[in-house]
Amino acid sequence: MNLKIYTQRPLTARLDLKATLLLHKPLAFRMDRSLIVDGYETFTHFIKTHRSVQFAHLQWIDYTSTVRVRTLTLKHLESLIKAGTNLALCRHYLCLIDIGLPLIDRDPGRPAGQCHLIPDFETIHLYPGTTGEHAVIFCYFGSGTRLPRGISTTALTLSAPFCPRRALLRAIDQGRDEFNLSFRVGFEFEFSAVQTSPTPSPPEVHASSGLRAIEAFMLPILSTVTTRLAAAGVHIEQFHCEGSDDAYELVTAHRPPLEAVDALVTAKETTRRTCRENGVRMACYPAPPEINGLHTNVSVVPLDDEHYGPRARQDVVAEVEEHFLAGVLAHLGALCAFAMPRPESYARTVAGQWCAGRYVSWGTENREGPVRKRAPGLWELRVPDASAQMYLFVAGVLFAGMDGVRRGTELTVSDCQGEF
Amino acid sequence: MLTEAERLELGVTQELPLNPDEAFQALLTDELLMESIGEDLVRTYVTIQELYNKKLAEAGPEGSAERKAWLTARI
Repeated sequence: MNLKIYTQRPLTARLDLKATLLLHKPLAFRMDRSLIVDGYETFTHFIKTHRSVQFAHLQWIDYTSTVRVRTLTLKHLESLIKAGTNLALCRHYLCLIDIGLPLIDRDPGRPAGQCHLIPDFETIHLYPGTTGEHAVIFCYFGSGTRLPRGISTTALTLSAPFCPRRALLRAIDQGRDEFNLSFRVGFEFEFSAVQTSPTPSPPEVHASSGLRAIEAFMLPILSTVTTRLAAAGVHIEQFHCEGSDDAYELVTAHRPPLEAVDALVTAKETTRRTCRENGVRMACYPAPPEINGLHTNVSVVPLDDEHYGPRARQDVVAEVEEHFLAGVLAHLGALCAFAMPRPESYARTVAGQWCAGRYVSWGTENREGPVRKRAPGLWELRVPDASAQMYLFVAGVLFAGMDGVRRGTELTVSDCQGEF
Repeated sequence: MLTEAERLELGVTQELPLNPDEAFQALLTDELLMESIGEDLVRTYVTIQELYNKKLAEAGPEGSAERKAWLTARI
């Protein structure tokens, strides 16, 4: 997924546009909190080069990480765009549990009022593993306002204060605007898989990284998953058998944060669907015996790091990395609210399980703590499991780390090499 | 295993939350995250997660097959 939101272009271009907008007196939106979303050209180009597309899946991820979708005929989506509007839906759609609306008297949970799915057109990709009739677009959940004619006929200003995707984008923007930093994120997605039909092949012993274990039935399935994802722009680096019952792991490539979390969503759902098609039940369960985690690798890199030589890049990272880590550790307990929202999640924070350990700590190549330092400015955050609201977790990690950099927070926890 | 004295020497003093409620309380009292992510978003998020965990509890006691089936159908 080639993600280029308007605000990720050079700052000068953005300021020019802001200046232009401010000249238009009737505009009453708040510039500080609004975002200009475009990408319509990417959309039209995609449709022109993929003539077989007939449906557009508008996807969003709610607070409990349920992926929801509205499937529109391409014709209908095009007519909405032409009319200068977006797909409206009830504003409680971030707050549902399955089909039920819990009774809460809080925005956006109230069942009255509208929100819109604002397509992030830059995320458009073919539905993995289908014949090309379906395209998928990740959306913001909020409302959009057209810009005045003469500036752009397709761009919108977005207001989405409740949208998890928007919160992550705000964190990315803060890194760029305030710190000249950007970030890369990659995931180690663990799940369990059990054959259910038609006739299970003879079992093999499940061994960590075992050849026979992966050959038993998952090798062709995971190969198909990887190929399907690659065609949709999601890159898997490797897969293998994990070290607990029936467990496997897929590793996603390090990408800018929003693209990375979108890719995780696509990878998880594609794995689930491909397993189901092959008579395999896939599940993510944080407690024993499976103990499936979702380790999240986060790295800090200078903005536009292709312009830096290796030495200059090292200097930038060296300057911020301790403060960034200190900031993350200072908020790690609170971040567990996004990373581990279920009681079952806390089976992974007991001592001696090679998961996340009991204490707020970190260690170079230490797999018995919540943070494993892998390289300068690169940490594996070991607390999340698949129940995490990953847009909010990554947003929180970036905000916490940047707060450490802003305050120059001292790292008071030493590099831990043992377990507690 | 490191001893308590060794742990304190490393500056490791804070425990991770033991359950979702402790984590939600930590989040709701975290000024930086409340402000950066948005107080309304965070409060709504926590409310929904608490209601979700209540439904999960209704599915069965922790570790039961019924509850595991409910959860793994959704995660």
